[in-house]
Amino acid sequence: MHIPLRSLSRLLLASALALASFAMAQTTLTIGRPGDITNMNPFRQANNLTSEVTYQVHEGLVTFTPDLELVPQLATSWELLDDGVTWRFFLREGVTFHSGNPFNAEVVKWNFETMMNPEDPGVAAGLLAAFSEVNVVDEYTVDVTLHEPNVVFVATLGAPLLMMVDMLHYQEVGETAYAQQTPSGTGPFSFVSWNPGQRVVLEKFDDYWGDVGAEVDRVVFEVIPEESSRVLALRTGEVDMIFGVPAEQMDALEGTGGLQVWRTPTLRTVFLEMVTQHPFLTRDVRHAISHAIDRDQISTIIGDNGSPAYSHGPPGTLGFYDHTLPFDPERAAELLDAEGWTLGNDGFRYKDGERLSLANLARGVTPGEIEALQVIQLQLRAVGVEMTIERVDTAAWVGTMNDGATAWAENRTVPTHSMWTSAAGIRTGEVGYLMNRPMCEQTVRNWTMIECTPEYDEAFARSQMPLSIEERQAAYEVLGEWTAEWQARVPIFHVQVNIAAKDSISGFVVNPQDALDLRGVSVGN
Amino acid sequence: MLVFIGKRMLQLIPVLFGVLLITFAVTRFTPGDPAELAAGEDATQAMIEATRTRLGLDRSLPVQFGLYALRAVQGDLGTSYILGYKVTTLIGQALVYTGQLALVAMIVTIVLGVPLGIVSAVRRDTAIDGIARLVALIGVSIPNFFFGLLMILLFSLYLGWLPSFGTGTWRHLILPGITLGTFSTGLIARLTRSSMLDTLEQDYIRTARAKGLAGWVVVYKHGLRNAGIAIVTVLGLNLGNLLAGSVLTESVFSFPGIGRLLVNSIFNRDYATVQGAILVIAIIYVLVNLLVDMLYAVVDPRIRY
Repeated sequence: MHIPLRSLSRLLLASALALASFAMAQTTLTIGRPGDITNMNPFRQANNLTSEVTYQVHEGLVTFTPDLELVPQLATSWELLDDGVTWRFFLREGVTFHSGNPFNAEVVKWNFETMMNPEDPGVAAGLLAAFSEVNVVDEYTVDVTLHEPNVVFVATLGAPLLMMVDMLHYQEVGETAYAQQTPSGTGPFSFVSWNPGQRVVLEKFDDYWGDVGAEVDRVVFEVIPEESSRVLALRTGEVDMIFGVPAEQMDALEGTGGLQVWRTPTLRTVFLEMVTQHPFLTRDVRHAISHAIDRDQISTIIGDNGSPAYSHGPPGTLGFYDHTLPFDPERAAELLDAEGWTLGNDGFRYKDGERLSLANLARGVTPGEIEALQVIQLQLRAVGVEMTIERVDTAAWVGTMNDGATAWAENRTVPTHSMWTSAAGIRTGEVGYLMNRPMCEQTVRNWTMIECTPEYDEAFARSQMPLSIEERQAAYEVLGEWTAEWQARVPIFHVQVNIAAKDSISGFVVNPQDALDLRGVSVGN
Repeated sequence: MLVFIGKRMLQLIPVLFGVLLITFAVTRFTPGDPAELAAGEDATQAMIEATRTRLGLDRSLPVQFGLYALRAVQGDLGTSYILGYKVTTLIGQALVYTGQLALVAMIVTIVLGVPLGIVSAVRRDTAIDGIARLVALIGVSIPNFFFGLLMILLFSLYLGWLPSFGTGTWRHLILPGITLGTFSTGLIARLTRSSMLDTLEQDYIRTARAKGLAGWVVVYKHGLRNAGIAIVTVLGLNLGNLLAGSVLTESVFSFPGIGRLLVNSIFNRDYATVQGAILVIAIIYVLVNLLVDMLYAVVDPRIRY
């Protein structure tokens, strides 16, 4: 019998390949998430689901630790120059993008200018509004000059809201291709593929500048929109880890063999907000509503969805100030009586034949939000206030608030909507990120429609200046006092992120800003 | 036949123009601003305006519609506001997945539903009929969502036979296909039973039996063939429904079909994708109906076009 040489060599080659692929068996971390990214372009990305992925591929000049300490990333150090408005960043040397292009001062300058382009501003332009200009000092030093003294600026970069994009590559492939197929950053993982509605695949970047402890070759982000399906996919072993675990399943999963759960408190807060210009919602009625809310009861009902909130951020964040009113239904009733709202036979309060009824516009996007509102509904009912919960989608929700605020700012039109539920996080680690912006010059974004208050605006400016921590905290206290007086934005609960994974997974970090860090992740066996 | 098809294709033009106009109007009059959503949570007014210009939403409505219709005629349905992909690409991908799922669901429906209905009719008022009717009743009444989760529990978690989510292999199609097919299986079984009962009471059936034809020949050749028109009509409508996608089934099985694409686009006020998806679904309905009409001629040779 004669075996053709070609067939034999093919056979040998095939078995060699099979052996090689066996020896190099890839370790993959598969994560099931409720939704997909919208794009891979940091100038355009908008939501958490997107940034969870882009943060693995791109990096900022600075970043936060889970303890909210601002630490170097692509900048090794930074300082405020004597003019008080120029921040000098010293950049890390020898860093390359995934494409092989070098990272240097020119790249940083271009990134700032692209983000701040007045013709087509990037996603963080509004938060970096103090930016004036950027200049290259030498290959690894840049100066960023601001319009006014501002210390929060650097923290905003660490959010990170300005992630360094590979300039040469972006210019070469164009925005669309960059966003969909070929993003290139300096991060520990590089991009492999994206199938919209299905999955994003990343792989470990071998030339990463830093120390990557990650013992995983690939990370796959699978889209599994339905929460029960997500839990089942973890239990069948098809995914290694899931985000957005339903709170009521946390205890059960914790008790399941081979699985572990993480409960991470975040800096994200759910607020009940009131339109101060609504005819029913006078100062005292707002205070009465605030006095009627019992956060401990809410906390019991919502369980693993979150913990009671008293400020724009949890205790320990810079600028923390308890601006809630104590739970005191009797005081609430007194205030409502004094405002002329008298109890009718049906247990609701009336004035001039009109019932004190308020519709709360809720999107129900945050787990636990609707449950918390249902508890508040009963608590308000107890003092004679009717609150209905009106479910709307985000588009209609934003539209209602923007249109109402604009009409009031321009023509003092009396608003028809009264109340809504919001959720937002302080990405800079201090409460100023979420507090009412100076209101005297605002139009569309002043949703609570608080009148221009120069003292507040002045204190806000001071809170953002490069002063001592004590001086800034003092400014934040002034803001807190005003916020307490207004009772327009009532904190309800801080959101808890619930994650479940196989026992073998270790070393991944979710910091309180909701930012996922996979640098040290290990899949185990 | 060709003349008939040609006429029906001509009818497509006014139908599709109507669909274009209605979806355009409905998206524009729904509250919510796409530029606001596409620009993101932290966007400034300047950024929202820039986004509006980029999306072409700063033009007057007649101009927007004119441009949209003009491009649509040339097969260009625009670019997704949120994902930045060509709408035709997104719909194309989703349709491939939805098509696979619809195929499995149709097979399930025909293979299970029709025989179930026949058995039920032939063995009328027996225990077999009772069981078949109960199965059909469960099929039409069980929510897809719940049934899908039960299927995952049984076949993915406890038995470990099939994947619980996603796409990629034929095995990924089985659970969602069966889940999607249960409703129509029940429906077709009930319909087959009632049309068969009507047919089986006809005189020619008695004649066929009297002249000594075998039982199965009577049931299939004389019974089913005559009951066929109603079954084919409902199967056709059902195919249209399946190809329009099913948000619930697609969500439970994380299946990237056209139903989820459409619903996500509505929440994001992604007008381009919403309009494109509805247009394509409308075309599918029209074509499936045409196909059903052509099938009539096959089922019933008396029908000529």
